Amino acid sequence: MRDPITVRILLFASLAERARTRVVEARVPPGMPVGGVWGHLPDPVTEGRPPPDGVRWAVNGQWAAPGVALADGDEVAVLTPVSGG
Amino acid sequence: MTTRVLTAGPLDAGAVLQAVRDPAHGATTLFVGTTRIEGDGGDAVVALAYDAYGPMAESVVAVLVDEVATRFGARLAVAHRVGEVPAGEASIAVAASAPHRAEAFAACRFAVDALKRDLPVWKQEIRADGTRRWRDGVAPAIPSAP
Repeated sequence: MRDPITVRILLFASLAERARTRVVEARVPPGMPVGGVWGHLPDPVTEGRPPPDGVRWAVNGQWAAPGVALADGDEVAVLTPVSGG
Repeated sequence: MTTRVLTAGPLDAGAVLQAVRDPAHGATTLFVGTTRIEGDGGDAVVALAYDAYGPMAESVVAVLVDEVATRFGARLAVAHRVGEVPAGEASIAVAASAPHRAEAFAACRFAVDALKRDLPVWKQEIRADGTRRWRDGVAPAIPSAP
């Protein structure tokens, strides 16, 4: 069994507020799908539920499908539906 | 486009216009979105606070600049304010220039619609009674991988 990898999870807006932090570091299985980081977030963020509708993911600043495999050192952003402008 | 997208201070719409100046372009459109008072009494929204994923906002706009150039032959500049924005002040400015007005109008509208859908920015309502609430965003048409 391969060693876990480390990823940085970036949170914004309501998710950061609930987590009381904007960055969560997590040790996860190598090759874990991007969407799997949801399960490594603090309970106040997930509330034991799956990601809310409309959440999108980015890896190292680029949009990513939830099934993309993660590598050591990746930076994953969890992006709730945006409301700029 | 050379200006940075996100700025913490008041927006300079003139600088956004300047960024799309082109002697071959005869039409320039400018969209300015301002925060507005909603409701009344203690529930009245008196300001908005914006959070953003800065590096990705810059890359989203860079992609959009290229797309607008390809689709409309237009130049594009975008500025979005972050932090607290009192009602009545500008939160976003978008300028597009093109050889003719049809393309300039179309490019600006296309860009504003794309930014509302894709720019990683979130707004929080600040009410007169001091309470705050994150405003729900619009779920994208393609939720996982644009």
